[in-house]
Amino acid sequence: MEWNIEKEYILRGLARTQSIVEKKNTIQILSNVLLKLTGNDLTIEATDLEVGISATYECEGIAPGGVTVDAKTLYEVVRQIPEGTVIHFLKKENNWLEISAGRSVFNLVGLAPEDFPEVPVPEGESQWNMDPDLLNGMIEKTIFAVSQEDMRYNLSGVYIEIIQDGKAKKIRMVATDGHRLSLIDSDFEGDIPIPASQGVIVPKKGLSELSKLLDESEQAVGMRLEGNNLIVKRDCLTLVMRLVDGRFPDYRQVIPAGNDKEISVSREDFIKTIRRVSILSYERVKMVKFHISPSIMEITSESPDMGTAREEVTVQYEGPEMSIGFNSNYLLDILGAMDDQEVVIRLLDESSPGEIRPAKEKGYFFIIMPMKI
Amino acid sequence: MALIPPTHSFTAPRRMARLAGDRTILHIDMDAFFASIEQAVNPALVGKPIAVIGSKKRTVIVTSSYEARKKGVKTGMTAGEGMRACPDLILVPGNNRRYIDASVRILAIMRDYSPDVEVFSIDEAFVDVTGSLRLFGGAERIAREIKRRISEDLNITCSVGVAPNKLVAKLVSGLKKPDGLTIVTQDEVGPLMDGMPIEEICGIGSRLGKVLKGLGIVTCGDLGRYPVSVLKGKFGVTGERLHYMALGVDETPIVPIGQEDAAKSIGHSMTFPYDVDDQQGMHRYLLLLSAKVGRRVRKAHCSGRTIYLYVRFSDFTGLGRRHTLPKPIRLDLDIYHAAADVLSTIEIPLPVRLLGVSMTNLVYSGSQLPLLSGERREFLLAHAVDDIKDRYGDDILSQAEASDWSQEAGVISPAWRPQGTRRVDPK
Repeated sequence: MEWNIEKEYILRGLARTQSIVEKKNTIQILSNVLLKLTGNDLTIEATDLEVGISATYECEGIAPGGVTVDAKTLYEVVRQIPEGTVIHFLKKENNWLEISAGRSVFNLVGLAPEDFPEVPVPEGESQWNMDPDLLNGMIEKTIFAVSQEDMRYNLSGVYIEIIQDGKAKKIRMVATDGHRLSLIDSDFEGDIPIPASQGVIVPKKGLSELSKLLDESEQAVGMRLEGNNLIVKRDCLTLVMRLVDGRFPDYRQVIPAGNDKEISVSREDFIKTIRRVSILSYERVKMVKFHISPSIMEITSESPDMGTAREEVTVQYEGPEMSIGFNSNYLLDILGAMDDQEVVIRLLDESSPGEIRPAKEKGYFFIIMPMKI
Repeated sequence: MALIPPTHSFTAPRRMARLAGDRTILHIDMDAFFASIEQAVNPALVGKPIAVIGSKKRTVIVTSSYEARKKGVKTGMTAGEGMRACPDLILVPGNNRRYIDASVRILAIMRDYSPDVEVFSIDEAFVDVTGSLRLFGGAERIAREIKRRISEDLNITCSVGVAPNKLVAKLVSGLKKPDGLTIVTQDEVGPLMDGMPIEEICGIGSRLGKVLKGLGIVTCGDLGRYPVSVLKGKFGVTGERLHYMALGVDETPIVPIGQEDAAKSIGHSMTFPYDVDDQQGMHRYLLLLSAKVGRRVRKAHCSGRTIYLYVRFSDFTGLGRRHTLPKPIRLDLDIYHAAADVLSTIEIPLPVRLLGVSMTNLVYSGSQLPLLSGERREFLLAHAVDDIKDRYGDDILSQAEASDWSQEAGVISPAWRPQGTRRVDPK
């Protein structure tokens, strides 16, 4: 196996693998990338057995073959080679890979390519296409609410389902970590083979990789559900993610219907105030308290070691006075994911879920559970 | 419920200031506390060898009067052993409410002389009087005043150590007992420590003492002169601390009630009135213990990830095992299930005498309400039960399974605190 390739080409391919390869490498080969050469096509693959990527890059092929080497080391080596250099790769005995560029020569220890776990190849055509901006927007508004805890397996991804609204069809994404929830609907035409009222859970890591790919190009991506995998395709790049095998909780139950206290506030002002006040919130809790009265919302925090903070924000509100506490990080996550200027907060009481939604747009909203004050 | 307990006032800068200059610390140690109180309230017991025992059916001697100690009665003996050592020993069942009440009154006396009172145990406390020396005319006067008032109000005695830090104060309060007063100035610390046997220092137990003696270290003087680098190599960070302890240097501040650091572990154990050899019986106690632990974990706004179960068998041998969970828990039944899982891994060859459940690996979880309906119901239920217990006492509600057992009175733990996570509501 031997080939020449320009630094920028292979660097781009290797960069795409970096966040996929296993960091805690219990299985050593998972911290490697697989390089396969057929003709002038160099395929670079990486997988952690849940998310896998495979992409083909053009090169000057000399002799075909395959090898796997440590992904981080190879990436670092290639990254440090001067721009515009053509790099020569040569696989030697015992899976050693020699890399020469200019006057530098590197020899990397490799493993047999046969031992590398296969990244599934889609068996059929894409079943539906998605616009990258639309899909990325949906991911951005949900992914932050996915649970960080390994334990809550059924919450470790974003739930995707198809909503039949009369004749119109919508694609819905929902995420929750048990404290807050995001939901976004987008109009959708076409046919997604997800049965109505029974969605799929797409893992967080897969979606964040997908989001990076969507940022790269304006081109629509093709998608396909196959077995227990969601496969995303764009040209000769394939991203495969294994769906989370679990039941997503009945999120409809927690969407409040009777929240009668409605507060409108400028999103920018609200974010800045929370950022300022939360500096003095108790580090371990991050709670800020809100006292809401007509036209004025008072936001306070206190930390036993540092002191207190208080700020008032002008709001539109005409109901009775009430107090409620929230985790400021959760609020900032939510407000940061919104793009409207004006947000509406709907509350019931100090121990019931609150709802935050954009004043105009109707496609998405967030639910946040208060803290006991 | 307040986010921060009101006792968490903003005192950090003051604490720093105290560290800077010379300090005067009192260590007040009640003499044979429980026994003295029993003698104080019952004149018939005065001057007699008495031993305070638990009110349960089976128990050990918690403390004994000086008269009994002279005859060889020791804390931890069974009642039978005590009687053998001293045939005219009078056994008095403990009365926790009485001791807590006395402890609270004693703390109130100390607080008249300084706000910085650190409770060390039910019968020991530190008082930082640095800031009130001029107000009350010096450390000796404060110490004598406190001794006099405790003696007048409660008719019991205490021994007081006065020193520039907690370590030395505690060391010297034990030098003259009972009813002693020992004052050590900064200049006297060095000579005092030089000849002091290392075991006298609070924190050097018999095991560590043995290791040190193996190095030829007998007195604090020896320890202080021992190369720090060698101590560090042998004991790690503790090595450096040992060096300073031996020199009588201790900069740890007085931590007033309510400002203690977050608890590292929360646990509860219980000796049964009868040895238990059936699974069902053990599980009932486990449920009861889990509820007690859960309540305290929630009171501290914590959740715990590691559960530790201790089993003591009828022959007094025992073993403990721990298990770390993938996510932190705080509900009684979750704790029970985790503890029951650990119990199922332990082979029970003999009837069980005592079970202990504790949680470590505590994380502060605040009071975030869960969103998902099932979890939210559980959370609100637990807090509603806690609120009811706060108002009507811990025994007012319990799992039906465990209810028969919840009435058993236990002996108060020496680590009892008047407030904070250690609080157990006394009977």
